[in-house]
Amino acid sequence: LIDEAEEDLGRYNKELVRLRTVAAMVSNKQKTLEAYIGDLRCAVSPIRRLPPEILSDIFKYVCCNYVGVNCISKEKMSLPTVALSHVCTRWRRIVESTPSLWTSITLKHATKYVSSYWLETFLSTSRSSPLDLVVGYKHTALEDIALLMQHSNRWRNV
Amino acid sequence: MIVVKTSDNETFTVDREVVERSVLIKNMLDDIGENSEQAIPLPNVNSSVLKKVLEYCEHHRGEPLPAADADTSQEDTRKRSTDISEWDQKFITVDQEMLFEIILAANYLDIKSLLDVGCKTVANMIKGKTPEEIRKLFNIVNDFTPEEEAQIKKENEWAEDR
Repeated sequence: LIDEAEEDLGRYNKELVRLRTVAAMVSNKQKTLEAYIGDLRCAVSPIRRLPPEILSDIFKYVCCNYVGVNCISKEKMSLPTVALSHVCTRWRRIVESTPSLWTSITLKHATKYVSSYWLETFLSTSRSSPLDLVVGYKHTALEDIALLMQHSNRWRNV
Repeated sequence: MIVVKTSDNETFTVDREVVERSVLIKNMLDDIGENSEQAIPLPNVNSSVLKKVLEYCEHHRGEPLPAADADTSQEDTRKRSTDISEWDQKFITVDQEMLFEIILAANYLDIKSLLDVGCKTVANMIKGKTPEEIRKLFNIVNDFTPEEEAQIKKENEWAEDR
Protein backbone atom coordinates (compact mmCIF):
# COMPACT_ATOMS: atom_id res chain seq x y z
CA LEU A 1 0.00 0.00 0.00
CA ILE A 2 2.85 2.37 0.88
CA ASP A 3 4.61 1.60 -2.42
CA GLU A 4 1.43 2.31 -4.38
CA ALA A 5 0.85 5.59 -2.51
CA GLU A 6 4.47 6.65 -3.12
CA GLU A 7 4.09 5.83 -6.82
CA ASP A 8 0.95 8.01 -6.93
CA LEU A 9 2.79 10.79 -5.08
CA GLY A 10 5.65 10.61 -7.62
CA ARG A 11 3.15 10.91 -10.48
CA TYR A 12 1.46 13.86 -8.85
CA ASN A 13 4.81 15.59 -8.30
CA LYS A 14 5.73 15.09 -11.98
CA GLU A 15 2.32 16.38 -13.00
CA LEU A 16 2.77 19.43 -10.76
CA VAL A 17 6.16 20.18 -12.34
CA ARG A 18 4.62 19.86 -15.81
CA LEU A 19 1.69 22.11 -14.90
CA ARG A 20 4.02 24.72 -13.38
CA THR A 21 6.05 24.75 -16.60
CA VAL A 22 2.85 25.18 -18.66
CA ALA A 23 1.65 27.94 -16.26
CA ALA A 24 4.98 29.77 -16.64
CA MET A 25 4.73 29.51 -20.45
CA VAL A 26 1.15 30.80 -20.46
CA SER A 27 2.12 33.61 -18.09
CA ASN A 28 4.97 34.61 -20.44
CA LYS A 29 2.63 34.56 -23.44
CA GLN A 30 0.13 36.65 -21.46
CA LYS A 31 2.82 39.26 -20.69
CA THR A 32 3.96 39.34 -24.33
CA LEU A 33 0.36 39.80 -25.47
CA GLU A 34 -0.26 42.57 -22.93
CA ALA A 35 2.88 44.38 -24.13
CA TYR A 36 1.72 43.92 -27.75
CA ILE A 37 -1.73 45.35 -26.94
CA GLY A 38 -0.02 48.23 -25.13
CA ASP A 39 2.16 48.92 -28.19
CA LEU A 40 -0.88 48.83 -30.48
CA ARG A 41 -2.79 51.21 -28.20
CA CYS A 42 0.20 53.57 -28.23
CA ALA A 43 0.49 53.29 -32.01
CA VAL A 44 -3.11 54.44 -32.51
CA SER A 45 -3.15 56.88 -29.60
CA PRO A 46 -4.92 60.00 -30.89
CA ILE A 47 -2.49 62.39 -29.17
CA ARG A 48 0.24 61.12 -31.53
CA ARG A 49 -1.58 62.84 -34.39
CA LEU A 50 -1.09 66.32 -32.93
CA PRO A 51 1.69 68.28 -34.67
CA PRO A 52 4.48 69.66 -32.45
CA GLU A 53 3.23 73.25 -32.62
CA ILE A 54 -0.14 72.26 -31.11
CA LEU A 55 1.53 70.14 -28.42
CA SER A 56 3.75 73.10 -27.66
CA ASP A 57 0.66 75.32 -27.27
CA ILE A 58 -0.89 72.77 -24.90
CA PHE A 59 2.33 72.66 -22.88
CA LYS A 60 2.27 76.48 -22.60
CA TYR A 61 -1.13 76.22 -20.93
CA VAL A 62 0.44 73.75 -18.45
CA CYS A 63 3.73 75.57 -17.80
CA CYS A 64 2.99 79.28 -18.29
CA ASN A 65 -0.57 79.88 -17.14
CA TYR A 66 0.44 81.93 -14.10
CA VAL A 67 3.58 83.53 -12.68
CA GLY A 68 5.91 81.04 -10.95
CA VAL A 69 4.45 77.73 -12.18
CA ASN A 70 7.66 75.75 -11.64
CA CYS A 71 8.34 75.80 -7.92
CA ILE A 72 11.92 75.23 -6.76
CA SER A 73 11.45 74.91 -3.03
CA LYS A 74 12.55 72.79 -0.12
CA GLU A 75 8.94 72.56 1.03
CA LYS A 76 7.20 71.93 -2.26
CA MET A 77 9.24 70.98 -5.31
CA SER A 78 6.90 71.03 -8.30
CA LEU A 79 8.31 71.21 -11.82
CA PRO A 80 5.58 70.66 -14.47
CA THR A 81 7.97 71.62 -17.28
CA VAL A 82 10.40 68.89 -16.22
CA ALA A 83 7.55 66.38 -15.77
CA LEU A 84 6.45 66.96 -19.39
CA SER A 85 10.01 66.37 -20.59
CA HIS A 86 9.99 62.97 -18.82
CA VAL A 87 7.01 61.54 -20.73
CA CYS A 88 8.60 60.38 -24.01
CA THR A 89 11.33 61.40 -26.46
CA ARG A 90 8.97 63.40 -28.66
CA TRP A 91 7.65 65.46 -25.75
CA ARG A 92 11.18 65.90 -24.39
CA ARG A 93 12.39 67.30 -27.72
CA ILE A 94 9.43 69.71 -27.89
CA VAL A 95 9.83 70.87 -24.27
CA GLU A 96 13.57 71.37 -24.61
CA SER A 97 13.19 73.35 -27.83
CA THR A 98 10.46 75.66 -26.50
CA PRO A 99 12.18 78.35 -24.37
CA SER A 100 8.92 79.91 -23.12
CA LEU A 101 8.09 76.68 -21.22
CA TRP A 102 11.06 77.38 -18.92
CA THR A 103 10.20 80.96 -17.97
CA SER A 104 7.72 80.68 -15.10
CA ILE A 105 9.70 80.04 -11.90
CA THR A 106 9.12 80.26 -8.15
CA LEU A 107 12.25 80.18 -5.99
CA LYS A 108 11.86 79.98 -2.22
CA HIS A 109 13.10 78.00 0.76
CA ALA A 110 15.37 76.01 -1.54
CA THR A 111 18.61 74.36 -0.52
CA LYS A 112 21.42 76.07 -2.40
CA TYR A 113 22.71 72.97 -4.14
CA VAL A 114 19.32 71.98 -5.61
CA SER A 115 18.09 75.47 -6.43
CA SER A 116 21.25 76.35 -8.34
CA TYR A 117 21.00 73.22 -10.50
CA TRP A 118 17.39 73.90 -11.49
CA LEU A 119 17.73 77.66 -11.66
CA GLU A 120 20.66 77.36 -14.07
CA THR A 121 18.72 74.79 -16.12
CA PHE A 122 15.62 77.00 -16.36
CA LEU A 123 17.57 80.19 -17.06
CA SER A 124 19.70 78.63 -19.81
CA THR A 125 16.86 76.68 -21.49
CA SER A 126 14.57 79.72 -21.50
CA ARG A 127 17.27 81.48 -23.59
CA SER A 128 16.16 85.09 -24.18
CA SER A 129 12.45 84.71 -23.32
CA PRO A 130 10.89 87.06 -20.73
CA LEU A 131 10.88 85.61 -17.20
CA ASP A 132 7.93 85.43 -14.79
CA LEU A 133 9.38 85.02 -11.32
CA VAL A 134 8.28 84.59 -7.73
CA VAL A 135 11.30 84.95 -5.42
CA GLY A 136 11.28 84.53 -1.66
CA TYR A 137 14.44 86.58 -1.27
CA LYS A 138 14.77 86.16 2.52
CA HIS A 139 15.26 82.42 2.15
CA THR A 140 17.11 82.38 -1.14
CA ALA A 141 20.87 81.86 -1.47
CA LEU A 142 22.80 84.98 -2.46
CA GLU A 143 24.36 83.07 -5.35
CA ASP A 144 20.89 82.40 -6.76
CA ILE A 145 19.87 86.05 -6.38
CA ALA A 146 23.10 87.02 -8.18
CA LEU A 147 22.31 84.54 -10.94
CA LEU A 148 18.82 86.00 -11.33
CA MET A 149 20.27 89.51 -11.41
CA GLN A 150 22.36 88.54 -14.43
CA HIS A 151 19.07 87.98 -16.26
CA SER A 152 17.27 91.08 -14.94
CA ASN A 153 16.87 92.44 -18.47
CA ARG A 154 14.48 89.52 -19.09
CA TRP A 155 12.30 89.98 -15.98
CA ARG A 156 8.69 90.52 -17.01
CA ASN A 157 6.91 89.76 -13.73
CA VAL A 158 8.69 89.55 -10.36
CA MET B 1 -26.14 79.64 -47.46
CA ILE B 2 -22.82 77.88 -48.00
CA VAL B 3 -22.34 74.20 -48.86
CA VAL B 4 -19.32 72.36 -47.45
CA LYS B 5 -18.29 68.79 -48.28
CA THR B 6 -16.47 66.54 -45.79
CA SER B 7 -13.80 63.87 -46.38
CA ASP B 8 -16.52 61.17 -46.28
CA ASN B 9 -18.48 63.02 -48.98
CA GLU B 10 -21.26 64.34 -46.77
CA THR B 11 -22.49 67.83 -47.56
CA PHE B 12 -23.65 70.43 -45.05
CA THR B 13 -25.55 73.60 -45.89
CA VAL B 14 -24.64 76.28 -43.37
CA ASP B 15 -25.24 79.99 -42.78
CA ARG B 16 -22.38 82.06 -44.09
CA GLU B 17 -22.06 83.84 -40.71
CA VAL B 18 -21.65 80.48 -38.95
CA VAL B 19 -19.18 78.92 -41.35
CA GLU B 20 -17.11 82.11 -41.56
CA ARG B 21 -15.90 81.55 -38.02
CA SER B 22 -13.39 79.41 -39.89
CA VAL B 23 -10.75 81.77 -41.24
CA LEU B 24 -9.82 79.14 -43.85
CA ILE B 25 -13.39 79.01 -45.22
CA LYS B 26 -13.80 82.79 -44.92
CA ASN B 27 -10.69 83.31 -47.06
CA MET B 28 -11.89 80.70 -49.57
CA LEU B 29 -15.25 82.46 -49.85
CA ASP B 30 -13.54 85.81 -50.30
CA ASP B 31 -11.48 84.26 -53.11
CA ILE B 32 -14.25 82.47 -54.99
CA GLY B 33 -16.84 85.22 -54.56
CA GLU B 34 -20.38 85.40 -53.19
CA ASN B 35 -22.32 83.56 -55.83
CA SER B 36 -20.44 80.31 -56.18
CA GLU B 37 -22.74 77.33 -55.70
CA GLN B 38 -19.90 74.86 -55.59
CA ALA B 39 -19.49 72.91 -52.36
CA ILE B 40 -16.33 73.81 -50.46
CA PRO B 41 -14.28 70.63 -50.04
CA LEU B 42 -12.88 69.93 -46.57
CA PRO B 43 -10.70 66.86 -47.21
CA ASN B 44 -9.22 66.86 -43.71
CA VAL B 45 -12.49 66.81 -41.75
CA ASN B 46 -15.03 63.99 -41.55
CA SER B 47 -18.75 64.50 -41.07
CA SER B 48 -18.96 63.55 -37.36
CA VAL B 49 -16.20 66.03 -36.50
CA LEU B 50 -17.64 68.76 -38.73
CA LYS B 51 -21.01 68.35 -37.01
CA LYS B 52 -19.33 69.12 -33.68
CA VAL B 53 -17.35 72.01 -35.15
CA LEU B 54 -20.51 73.54 -36.66
CA GLU B 55 -22.30 73.13 -33.32
CA TYR B 56 -19.52 75.24 -31.77
CA CYS B 57 -19.62 77.83 -34.56
CA GLU B 58 -23.42 78.07 -34.31
CA HIS B 59 -23.27 78.67 -30.57
CA HIS B 60 -20.59 81.36 -30.94
CA ARG B 61 -22.15 82.95 -34.01
CA GLY B 62 -21.80 86.72 -34.05
CA GLU B 63 -19.09 86.89 -31.40
CA PRO B 64 -16.02 88.93 -32.41
CA LEU B 65 -13.23 86.86 -33.94
CA PRO B 66 -9.86 86.97 -32.13
CA ALA B 67 -7.42 89.52 -33.56
CA ALA B 68 -4.75 88.26 -35.93
CA ASP B 69 -2.03 89.22 -33.42
CA ALA B 70 -3.77 87.41 -30.53
CA ASP B 71 -0.94 84.86 -30.47
CA THR B 72 1.64 87.47 -29.57
CA SER B 73 -0.40 89.00 -26.78
CA GLN B 74 -1.11 85.54 -25.36
CA GLU B 75 2.61 85.06 -24.90
CA ASP B 76 2.11 87.08 -21.75
CA THR B 77 1.86 84.49 -19.01
CA ARG B 78 -0.86 86.36 -17.18
CA LYS B 79 -3.21 85.87 -20.11
CA ARG B 80 -2.66 82.11 -20.51
CA SER B 81 -5.54 81.15 -18.29
CA THR B 82 -6.93 77.64 -18.69
CA ASP B 83 -10.46 78.68 -17.72
CA ILE B 84 -13.15 77.40 -20.08
CA SER B 85 -16.74 78.70 -20.13
CA GLU B 86 -19.48 76.39 -18.92
CA TRP B 87 -20.99 75.84 -22.37
CA ASP B 88 -17.59 75.18 -23.97
CA GLN B 89 -16.70 72.77 -21.20
CA LYS B 90 -19.87 70.78 -21.77
CA PHE B 91 -19.33 70.91 -25.54
CA ILE B 92 -15.78 69.57 -25.28
CA THR B 93 -16.69 66.72 -22.91
CA VAL B 94 -16.11 64.03 -25.53
CA ASP B 95 -13.91 60.94 -25.78
CA GLN B 96 -10.19 61.41 -26.48
CA GLU B 97 -10.50 60.37 -30.12
CA MET B 98 -13.09 63.12 -30.78
CA LEU B 99 -11.23 65.67 -28.63
CA PHE B 100 -8.05 65.37 -30.70
CA GLU B 101 -10.04 65.28 -33.96
CA ILE B 102 -11.73 68.55 -32.95
CA ILE B 103 -8.34 70.10 -32.15
CA LEU B 104 -6.94 69.02 -35.53
CA ALA B 105 -10.05 70.26 -37.35
CA ALA B 106 -9.93 73.62 -35.52
CA ASN B 107 -6.28 73.96 -36.48
CA TYR B 108 -6.97 73.08 -40.13
CA LEU B 109 -10.06 75.29 -40.38
CA ASP B 110 -8.28 78.05 -38.47
CA ILE B 111 -10.86 78.53 -35.72
CA LYS B 112 -8.61 79.91 -33.01
CA SER B 113 -11.13 80.05 -30.17
CA LEU B 114 -12.04 76.38 -30.68
CA LEU B 115 -8.39 75.39 -30.90
CA ASP B 116 -7.82 77.19 -27.59
CA VAL B 117 -10.71 75.35 -25.93
CA GLY B 118 -9.25 72.03 -27.11
CA CYS B 119 -5.70 72.87 -26.01
CA LYS B 120 -6.89 74.11 -22.61
CA THR B 121 -8.90 70.92 -22.11
CA VAL B 122 -5.86 68.73 -22.80
CA ALA B 123 -3.72 70.98 -20.58
CA ASN B 124 -6.22 70.60 -17.74
CA MET B 125 -6.08 66.81 -18.19
CA ILE B 126 -2.27 66.92 -17.90
CA LYS B 127 -1.95 69.31 -14.95
CA GLY B 128 -0.83 67.79 -11.66
CA LYS B 129 -0.04 64.39 -13.16
CA THR B 130 3.24 62.49 -13.05
CA PRO B 131 4.91 61.42 -16.33
CA GLU B 132 3.71 57.85 -15.74
CA GLU B 133 0.12 59.00 -15.18
CA ILE B 134 0.29 61.10 -18.37
CA ARG B 135 1.58 58.11 -20.36
CA LYS B 136 -1.25 55.96 -19.03
CA LEU B 137 -3.88 58.63 -19.73
CA PHE B 138 -2.88 59.11 -23.38
CA ASN B 139 -1.42 55.66 -24.17
CA ILE B 140 2.06 57.03 -24.72
CA VAL B 141 4.97 54.61 -24.78
CA ASN B 142 8.09 55.33 -22.73
CA ASP B 143 10.61 55.21 -25.58
CA PHE B 144 13.65 56.74 -23.87
CA THR B 145 17.04 55.24 -24.61
CA PRO B 146 19.02 53.88 -21.63
CA GLU B 147 21.17 57.04 -21.75
CA GLU B 148 18.10 59.28 -21.63
CA GLU B 149 16.63 57.14 -18.83
CA ALA B 150 19.84 57.64 -16.85
CA GLN B 151 19.62 61.42 -17.37
CA ILE B 152 15.95 61.45 -16.33
CA LYS B 153 16.78 59.42 -13.22
CA LYS B 154 19.42 62.00 -12.35
CA GLU B 155 16.93 64.84 -12.87
CA ASN B 156 14.37 63.05 -10.69
CA GLU B 157 16.96 62.77 -7.93
CA TRP B 158 17.55 66.53 -8.20
CA ALA B 159 13.81 67.15 -8.08
CA GLU B 160 13.41 65.00 -4.99
CA ASP B 161 16.46 66.28 -3.13
CA ARG B 162 15.30 68.12 -0.06
